Amino acid sequence: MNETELKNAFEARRPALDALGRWVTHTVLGALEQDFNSKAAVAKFLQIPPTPRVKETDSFLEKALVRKRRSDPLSEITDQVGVRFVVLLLEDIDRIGKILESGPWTAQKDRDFQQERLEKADYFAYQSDHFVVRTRAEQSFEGVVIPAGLPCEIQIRTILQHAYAEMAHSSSYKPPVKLPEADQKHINRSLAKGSALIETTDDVFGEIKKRLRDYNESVAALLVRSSELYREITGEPANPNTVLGELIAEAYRGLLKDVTPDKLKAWADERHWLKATLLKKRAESVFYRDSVVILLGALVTENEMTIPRHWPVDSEYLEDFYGTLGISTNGLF
Amino acid sequence: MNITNLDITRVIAHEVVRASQITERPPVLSDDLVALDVKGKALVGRRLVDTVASGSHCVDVTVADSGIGSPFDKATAMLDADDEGFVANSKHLANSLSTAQTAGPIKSGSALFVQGTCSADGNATRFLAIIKADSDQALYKGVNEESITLTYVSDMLLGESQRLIKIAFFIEDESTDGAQLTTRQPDDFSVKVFDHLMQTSGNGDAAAYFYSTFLKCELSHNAARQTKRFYEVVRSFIDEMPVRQADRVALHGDLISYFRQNRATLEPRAFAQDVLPQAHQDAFVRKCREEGITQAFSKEVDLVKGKLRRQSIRFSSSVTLYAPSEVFRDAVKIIGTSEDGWTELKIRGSIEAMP
Repeated sequence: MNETELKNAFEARRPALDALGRWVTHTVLGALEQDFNSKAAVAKFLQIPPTPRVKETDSFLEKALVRKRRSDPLSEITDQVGVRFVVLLLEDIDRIGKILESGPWTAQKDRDFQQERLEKADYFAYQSDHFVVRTRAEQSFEGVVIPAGLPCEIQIRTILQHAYAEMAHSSSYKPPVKLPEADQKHINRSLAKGSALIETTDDVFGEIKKRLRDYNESVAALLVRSSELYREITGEPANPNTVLGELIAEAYRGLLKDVTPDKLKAWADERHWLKATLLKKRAESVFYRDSVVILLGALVTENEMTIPRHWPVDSEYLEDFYGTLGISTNGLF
Repeated sequence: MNITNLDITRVIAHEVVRASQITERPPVLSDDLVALDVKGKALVGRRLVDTVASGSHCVDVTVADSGIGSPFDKATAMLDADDEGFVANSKHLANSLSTAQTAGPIKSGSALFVQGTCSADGNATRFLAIIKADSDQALYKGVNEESITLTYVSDMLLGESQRLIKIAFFIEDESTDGAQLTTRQPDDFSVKVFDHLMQTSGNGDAAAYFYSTFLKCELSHNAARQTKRFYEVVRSFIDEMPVRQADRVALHGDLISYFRQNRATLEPRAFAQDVLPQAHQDAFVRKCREEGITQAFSKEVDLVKGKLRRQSIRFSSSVTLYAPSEVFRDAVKIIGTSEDGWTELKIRGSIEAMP
C-alpha cells in the first residue's frame, strides 16, 4: 500500500474509529456508574473527563511509514483511536483495568507499569497502563458501523503520572528543537528525578487513602457492633446507619479511636440495668430507639467532660442521657 | 456513686417555713400522696441524679443520731411503712425541718419526700430522698390560637437552679430482706447530702442547719484523709501529663492555690474545669474514678498543710528552689532548658541575704 492508498484507507475508517472511541468510553463510564451507583461519583472519580480522539492522519502516516515500516499498519498500529482515563490514586487504575478486561470486546494489556517497574527496577520514566481493545464482530454504535477487530487504545494513569507524561511529552518525546547533548542529559536526569518523585508521591497518597479507609471502616464497625448489642439487649430491631449515628460519629471522630467493638461489648455487659432502662426509655423517646445509644453510652462514660462541648443536636437529649447513665450534668451544660 | 434506672414509687409534699413563722401561720402539711405523671417523675429523677450521682457536689455524711424518733429513724422507716405511716413520718420530718430553719438566709419553701428504687453502682436498691425546694419565680407561657400569654408564677419548684435545692439521700446498702425491723442501723445505709451552701466555707450555721440541725448528721470523719488522697492523685496526674516542664510547674502552683482557696468541698470535675486544660479533663476524671473518687467531699487540709505552704522545684543537679506558694507564681519564671543542660530562670527581687 503506498502513502496515498494508506491515507485514503485511514480517512475512510475515521467515522468508524470515532464511533469505536465513543462506544468504548460510553461502555466504561456505564460500568463505573453501575459500580458507584451515581453519575456524580464517577465525575469525581475521573480527574479529567475522558474524550476519545482519532489520530491525526499525518501523525498516523508518520508512524506507519517513517518511524518504523510495518507490513499491515492499519491492523498493527493500535492507537488509531485512543481514550485516556485519569484517576487520583494508583488503586483506581485497577478498577478501570478490570472493567476493560471484562468488557464486550477482546482486551489486551500492552503496557503494565507495575510490571515495568520491576523489570527496570532502577529506571524512572513514563508510567501508565495501556490496553488495546478490539471489537469482536462487526457492530454499530449510534448508527455508525464498526468493523470487527478495529483497535482502540486506552491509557489509564494517575493525575500525577499524567502531569509527568505531559511534561515529558513536550521535553523528551517530541522536542521542538534538537538540544545539545549535555542539555538533553540534564533534562533526562531531571525527568527521571520527577518520575521517581511522582512514584513516591503516588505511594504516599495511597497510604493516606488507606488510613482514611481504615478509620471509616473502624467507625462503621463500631456502629454495627452498637446495633448488634442493642438488638441483643432489647430484642428490638436496630439499624446501624442512622442520621443520628452519623452525626455522633462525625462529632466525636477524635474520641472514637479509643473505642473498639470489644470495648462496647464490655461496656454493655457491665451494665445490668441497661435492658430495663432501654426498654422503658425507647417507649418514650425516639432517641432511645436508635442503637447508637450504646456507642454514645461508652463514649460518655469515658469522656463526660468533652461530650457536651461537641454535641451535634438538641442538648435536651444529652442531658436526659446523662441522667440515664447516672452521671450528673452539674456544671457541664 | 453511679445512680441509674431510677424509678419513683411514692411522693408527698409539705410546706416548710422559717422557725420564727411556725406560730404565726402553721405550715400546710398534706395528708395525701402526690400523683406525679411520667414527665413529672422524670424531672424529679433528673434533679436527684444531677445532685447526688457521679460528678455531683453532694457529700457523704455520717449519721450522728440514729435513736428511736431521730430523723434517720423516721426517714428510713418510711421505706417499709404503709401509706399512712409514710404520710405521718413525712409530716414529722417536715415539722422538724421548719423548726431547724433559724439561720439568716434560710427561706421557707417545700419539703418533698420521694421514695423509689434505683441501681446504685449496679446494685438494685431502694432510696428515700428528702428534698427541701425553695420556690422560684417564673412566667408561665400559655399558647392559644392567636397569641402567647405570660402568667406570673411565684411558686415554681425544682427549676434548673441547684441553689434552690437541698437534698438528703438515704440509699439502702443492706436490705431488710422482708423482716419487719422496727429500727434500722446507719451501717445499712449510705447517706448523702447536697446543699450548695456546703461548697464554700464561711457559711456557718446556714450551711450546717440542713445536715446537722435537721438531719442530725456529721461531716464524714475521713475528710482529711480524702483531701490528702485527692491531693496525691492530682499531683501524680500532673506529673504524668504530657506537657512542657514549665507548664507542669505552673499547674503545681495552680493546684496549691486551689487547695488554699476558700472552699469547703472538693470535687474532681469542678477541679478539672477550674485548673486543667480541656484536653486533659476527661483523663483526670477517669483517673479519679479509678481511684474511687466520683463525687464531692469535705475539704480538710490538715494532712497536706506543709505541702501547701511552699512550692518547690528540684533540678537534676540536686539544686532545689523553693518559695512560699503565694509568692512562687509571680516571682519565679522558667525561661527554658538549653541543650547543654542548663535551665534558665528569672527570679523577681535582688539577692538579700545568704542565711
